[in-house]
Amino acid sequence: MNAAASNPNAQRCILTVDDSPSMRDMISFTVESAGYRVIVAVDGIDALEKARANAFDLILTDQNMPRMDGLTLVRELRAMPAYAHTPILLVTTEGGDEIKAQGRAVKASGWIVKPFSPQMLLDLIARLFR
Amino acid sequence: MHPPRVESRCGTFFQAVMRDQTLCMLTPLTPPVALIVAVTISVFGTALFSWFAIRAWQRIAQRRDVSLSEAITVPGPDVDRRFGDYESRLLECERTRTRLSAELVAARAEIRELTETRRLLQADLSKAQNAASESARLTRGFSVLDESAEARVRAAFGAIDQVRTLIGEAITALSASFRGLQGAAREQNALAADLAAANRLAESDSHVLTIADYIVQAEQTFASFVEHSSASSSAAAHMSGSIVRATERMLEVTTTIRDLDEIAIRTNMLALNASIEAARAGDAGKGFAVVARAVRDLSDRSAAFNTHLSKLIEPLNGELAFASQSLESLATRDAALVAELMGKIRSLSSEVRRSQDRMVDDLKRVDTLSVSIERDVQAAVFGIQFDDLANQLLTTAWGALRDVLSASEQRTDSASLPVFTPSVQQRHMRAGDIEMFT
Repeated sequence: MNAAASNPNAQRCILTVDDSPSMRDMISFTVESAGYRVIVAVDGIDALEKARANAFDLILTDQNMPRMDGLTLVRELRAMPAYAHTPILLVTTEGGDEIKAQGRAVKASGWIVKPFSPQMLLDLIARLFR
Repeated sequence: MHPPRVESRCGTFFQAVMRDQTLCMLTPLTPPVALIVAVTISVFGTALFSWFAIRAWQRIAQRRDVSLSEAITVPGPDVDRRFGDYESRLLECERTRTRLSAELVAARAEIRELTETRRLLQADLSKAQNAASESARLTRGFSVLDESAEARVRAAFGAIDQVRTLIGEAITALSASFRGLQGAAREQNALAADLAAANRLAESDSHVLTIADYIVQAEQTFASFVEHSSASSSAAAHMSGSIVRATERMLEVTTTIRDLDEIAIRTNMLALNASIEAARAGDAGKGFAVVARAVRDLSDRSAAFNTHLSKLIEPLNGELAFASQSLESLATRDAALVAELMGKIRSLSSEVRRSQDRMVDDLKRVDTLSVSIERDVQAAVFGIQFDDLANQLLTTAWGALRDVLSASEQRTDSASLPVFTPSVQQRHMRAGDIEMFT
């Protein structure tokens, strides 16, 4: 019996984008513990390249990154037909109303303020996939 | 500057003559003569100068007297006009004097004021000079301070980089450790599941055989075996008794054979006597002699048969005795062995049962520990996010220091520095909000 058959989450592939190695590790660790497949990217440009090469069911991205920030990445992804309706969550230290409004403007699906509980993240992902 | 008085000049000359002996040096005169000549010249010179002075003063006085007399003695309108002119000039002079007096008063006041102003200015100048001196001193101090501040800012850069490196390496090690912990916890879970599965020796849709079941069945099986062994032992003991009894019967048979031997011997003796008597009877006894010989042959054959039978029976007694002893020994040993084994089996069964109970308890504990480890690892993973927050704050601090250093190097106004706005507002490691837009 293979993993995909034993765990339905293994069929879901998640892209996590963060310039911090520890956050990439932490999110991968959390999401993989629930059986999801994870691919990581170090910034917006790297994420776009991987989004074109793969089909992701969910994207978790940081806001403050070199080369391309999270809001720009969301805008670019929404312009791609394949990711027009894919859940995209911004995971960032900032939680001000103004920047959240920018998140809404670029059609992000949600906003998570760091630090966040791993279990809360898993619950949220499960809710999105239902 | 007034000219020096004559006496003074002469005295000076004398002093010069006496001190420097110039005349002596310029003339061939001796010093006393030269002194006399000098005094003479001075006296005459003074007298001549006085005479010319008196004459000059007399001439000036005469001319003044002539002018006054002429002015007084000249009558007419010209004089009035001139007096008028003089009066007007006097008035003018008076006005001028009054004006000049007023101006003089004003000028004196102004001079006083200017003097005061100059005093104040001098005080201010002194203060300014002191301030300039202080400023120069402070400038030197600030220069040293700037150099010190720059050095400290650069040291702060190094410290920030050092902290980031240390935190990064620690977080990498922690992440690897947590991954290892989680892997170990999961492996532990899997092992516990395997052990729980191993506790189920056989499983079907309708029945699950556990080690406890196995123990019960093993005990039942062994009890059956013990019962069977006891029955075998009883049978062996019974068989041993039968053999003993058979041996006794064999002894009776042997005795009977001995009796038959006696009968055969007596029959032989009887046949021998009959043959003797038949020989005595002659022809009448020939038939009797045949019967006697036949009886004798029968007796020999009976004796031979008895001997053969005795030879057959004699080892059989030994075999029967050995078989009897063996069966008796076997029955006795089996009973002791079965009793001993039964005790051991019961002891082992209860030990296995206790072990199995302990194993079940341990499995439950392992399961609880695995859940606890998973929870702790999740909490630790939550804490790892401090690295990202701290790193962003350090980056902000680094940027602020860089701005200060740049401003210091370029001597720009601190007001031109960009606004310091840290991107991280969190002050505690508490979970942030989650907001869904869609």
